[in-house]
Amino acid sequence: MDDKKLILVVDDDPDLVEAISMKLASENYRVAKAYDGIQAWDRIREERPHLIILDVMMPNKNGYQVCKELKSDPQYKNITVVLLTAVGEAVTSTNYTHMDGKTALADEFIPKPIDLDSLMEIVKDYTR
Amino acid sequence: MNETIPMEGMKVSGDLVRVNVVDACLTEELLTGFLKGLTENRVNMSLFIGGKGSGGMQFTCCVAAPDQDRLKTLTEPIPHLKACLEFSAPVDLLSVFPHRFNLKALGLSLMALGKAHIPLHGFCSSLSALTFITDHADLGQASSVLQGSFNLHADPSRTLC
Repeated sequence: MDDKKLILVVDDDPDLVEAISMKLASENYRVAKAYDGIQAWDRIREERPHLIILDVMMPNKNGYQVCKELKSDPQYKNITVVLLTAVGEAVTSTNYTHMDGKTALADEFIPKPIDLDSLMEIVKDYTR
Repeated sequence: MNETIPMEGMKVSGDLVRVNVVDACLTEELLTGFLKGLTENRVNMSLFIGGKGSGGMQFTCCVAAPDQDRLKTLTEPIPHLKACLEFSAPVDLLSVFPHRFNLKALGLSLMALGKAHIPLHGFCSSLSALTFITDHADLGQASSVLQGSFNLHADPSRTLC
């Protein structure tokens, strides 16, 4: 049986998804990918990841919505969510705030642009 | 041979203008200053293709159409650069991903777009995506052509590694 932990990476930037996935694979994780909130839910139901790295600003369904739904669902609420945030002061075109992130009940927040090494440390902490 | 290559998605970045710098003989210092100005003024570039040839640094970038005037203003202190800027009619970026480092995907895309007589103003690859710059007026057709060239969503991104 494959005991590698499964991480779901969700972002509408395919290059960022690829970069994070390659890093995770090199650290011996299995990786699933999704490019918007709807696809994220498909992957969550099909594969039940151990941890989700979730972007906020995405088409169809944003990361806050996905996180809120997940954390209010008894079946999935124990899945760790790391939110990738680029809010207010960093992105002038967004209305998202840090408060949105807090009410979404994510387990961790990583500001964009992300530092891959810091992200890996968080992933390792939550998948030990 | 009717080989189909699986792709997980296609992304459209619209409402853009292409900015071309020709014959500018830009120095690296000038270009760096210009890019720093864009960053400080939060002018986002959806794409940047740059290179250094015998004529100096040259580049093509795409910015949101509403940022066009701000970009012009930012080049005011660099008259040498300002004189060499060309702004295009509206363009869109069409990206297919992930290419998985398969060069055939690029060949298929170019052949399909060429067969459909869709003008290409540039293309590039990144870690995951192949991106094509097309006229906004041709977006619908270009999108159909690329969708027809790949097996889109055929291999939804399940566990990959």
